[in-house]
Order: sequence, then structure tokens, then C-alpha cells
Amino acid sequence: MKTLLEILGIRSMSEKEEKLLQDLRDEALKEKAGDELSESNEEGIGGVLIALREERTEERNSPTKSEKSVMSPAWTIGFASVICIFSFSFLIKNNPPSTPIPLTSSSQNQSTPEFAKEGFFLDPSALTDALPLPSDDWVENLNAEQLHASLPIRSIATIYEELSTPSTLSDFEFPAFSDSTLMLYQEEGLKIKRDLTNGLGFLLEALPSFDFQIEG
Amino acid sequence: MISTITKTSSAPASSVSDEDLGKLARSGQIEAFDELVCRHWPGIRRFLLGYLPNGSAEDVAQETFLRAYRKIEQYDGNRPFLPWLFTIARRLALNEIRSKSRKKEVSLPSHPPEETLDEKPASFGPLWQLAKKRLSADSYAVLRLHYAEDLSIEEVSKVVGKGKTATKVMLHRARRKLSKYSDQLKDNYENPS
Repeated sequence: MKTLLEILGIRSMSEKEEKLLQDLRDEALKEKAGDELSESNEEGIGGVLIALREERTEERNSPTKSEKSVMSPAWTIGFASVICIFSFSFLIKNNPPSTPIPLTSSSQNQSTPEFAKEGFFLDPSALTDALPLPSDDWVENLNAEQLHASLPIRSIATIYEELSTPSTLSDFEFPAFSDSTLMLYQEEGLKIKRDLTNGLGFLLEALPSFDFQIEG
Repeated sequence: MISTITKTSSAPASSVSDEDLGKLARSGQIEAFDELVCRHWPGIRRFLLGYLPNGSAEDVAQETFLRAYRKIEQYDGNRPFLPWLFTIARRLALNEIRSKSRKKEVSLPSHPPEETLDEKPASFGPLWQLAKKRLSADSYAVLRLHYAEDLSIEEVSKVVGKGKTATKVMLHRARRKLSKYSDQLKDNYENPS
């Protein structure tokens, strides 16, 4: 296709330029012809081909590498679950669950569970801390009367024994407590004795205090 | 150089086009790529000599073929192979220049680098030698692709990343500039003293 300049008779390229381009093309052809005999080109091409072969060898080896390095999800899940099971079993072995009342083997066959003795074991150190012991001097020079007066454990036990047997209740006399703090127990004991010896009289006495109102 | 493809295929390698070889290489026939290397190594090297000195040009030419091999799946078999290869080469050359300029903190060369004595001869003709010496790197590349590698204006414009008109202007200026210096070259040949 002719350009506008060519149609008008104006040449886009001077003869000199055309000659130059022709020379450039000729030189390029000579270069290409000489390339086949050039040692430097052979070296260069050889270098590229070697590099390409190395690249291909790496490509062939790379899938096996990736297979090794990347595990499939199924294998990963399997390994993870196995590790979890082992770790849980290890933890359970070292720290058994703290059941306060372990069942014995015989109890499994009975409807009523039988408790093992170990379940009722009390730690003595805890009791020692909770109840401070008196000094050694007080224990060595023990005075029974003084002890009964200050710690009326035996007397109270006697009271409950007497109360549980009403026949002897009327004859029962409360011991005199020297400690004023124990007077309250004595008063309450006397009240109970009186009520019990009078039968249900205390209820009759209490009746007027109730206000019965019949509606309707 | 006898390539493997001539042994395996019934047709001689020279009768197979670059595009067909590219397609074969893409489909897994790696020997086809070797043939492309044999065909275009000198052209790529000479093209790169417009941007880089001899040693670097050879390294970048090698890298060009390796890069093309790695990216062969991206090659569109319906398009010409050579512009695709030259585009890769030019980009790698520019990357090389940028990395060197960063290291040395020097500006980009306006002219192609001159060969030193210890480097291999580039096997250029006198006119191409002059073009390499006097023209800018991109002007030399445009001239080389169009008149030595027979790429169309459109293909050349794609390689250098410019429009068709801009490429034509570059070619026109390169011709003019070179014709001025060609007189000087003739004088040198006629009167070497």
C-alpha cells in the first residue's frame, strides 16, 4: 500500500537512508550466517541447554519433595487424633479423677452402694489445726473436778441419758455449774425437765396465748 | 547444531515454525524448546548487547530462555513467538540495569555500553557496531528488531512497550541519525589514516 507521500511523488526515505537500511539488512544476514560457525554462540547455547536440563531435573525431583513436605489432610487428621489419644491417656494415668467416694467392686452387683473405708478417712493434721490443744502443764497436772466443772462434757451426757429414761427423770438433779457461761444450758435443761415431768401441761398453759378466730 | 527435535520428528527442525515449536514445548515436548534456544540465542544476545555489556548480556540471554521455559504455559500459540521472547529479554535487561544502578547509584546509560578489550567479540558488522555506539538503547533495539529480526512495526511496538506511531518515529530518527554517522564511517573506511 502506497503512502500519501509516495502518491504525491515525495519519497519518505532518501536514497542515502535506503542504502543504509539495505546495508544494515545485509550485515544482519552476514551476522546470522556467521553465527553457525561462531564458537562463542555454541558456548552460550550449550550453557543455556545445560541450565535447562538442570531446571528439568529439578522439576522432576520437586514433586517428590512436595509430597514429602506436604502431608495429605487425612494423614494430618489421623496423626493429630493419635497424638490426642496418647496425651489424654498419659494425663489420666498420672492424675486419676478425684472421686470422693470410690465404689468397691462388690457394690456394683448390689442395689445399695457400699462405700469403701478410704472414703471416710480424716486427716488428723486438719483437726489439730482446728482445735488448739491446751498447754502441756495443764495436761500433766490434771484435776478431774476442775475439769468437770469447766468442761461439763460428762454432765451433759448424763443429762441426755436421764432425759432418755423418763422414769428416773423426776429424781434427776442438775449439777451445779460454777462457770457462769454454762448457766444457760442449766436453765434450758431445767425447763425441759419441767415440761417433760408435767406431761402436756405446758401446752395447756400455752393455749390462752393463741388467738383463735373463726371466720364466717 | 543438530538438535534433538530433528531426530524425533519426521519434519526437519528448520521447517517447523517458531510458533509450532512453542506449542510443542508448551505441550511438554521439551526438545522443541532446545531448538528455539539454538535458533534465537544469537539474536537475543545481540539485542541485549544494546542494553548491557557483553558478559551481562550473555547472562541475561540465558536467564531469558530459562524464564521463557518456566513461563511457556503462558505463551499464546496463536501469536508470534519471537516478540514474546524479545519482550521477556527487554524486561530482564531493564531489571538488570535498574539493579546495577541501585548498587552503584548511577543513572541509566543513554547509550549502549561499549565493549572492553577482555570481552568476547560481539560479531557485529560495522554499521550495527556504529548503531550500537551512537543510538540510544531503545532506538538501537527498535532498529535491530525491525531490520535484523524482521519484526513488524506492531510487533516491535509491543516489545518496546510503545505505540505504533511512537515506534515509527523512533525508527525514523534512528535512520536519520545513523545516516549522518554512516558518512563518517565511510570516510574512516576510505581514509583509514
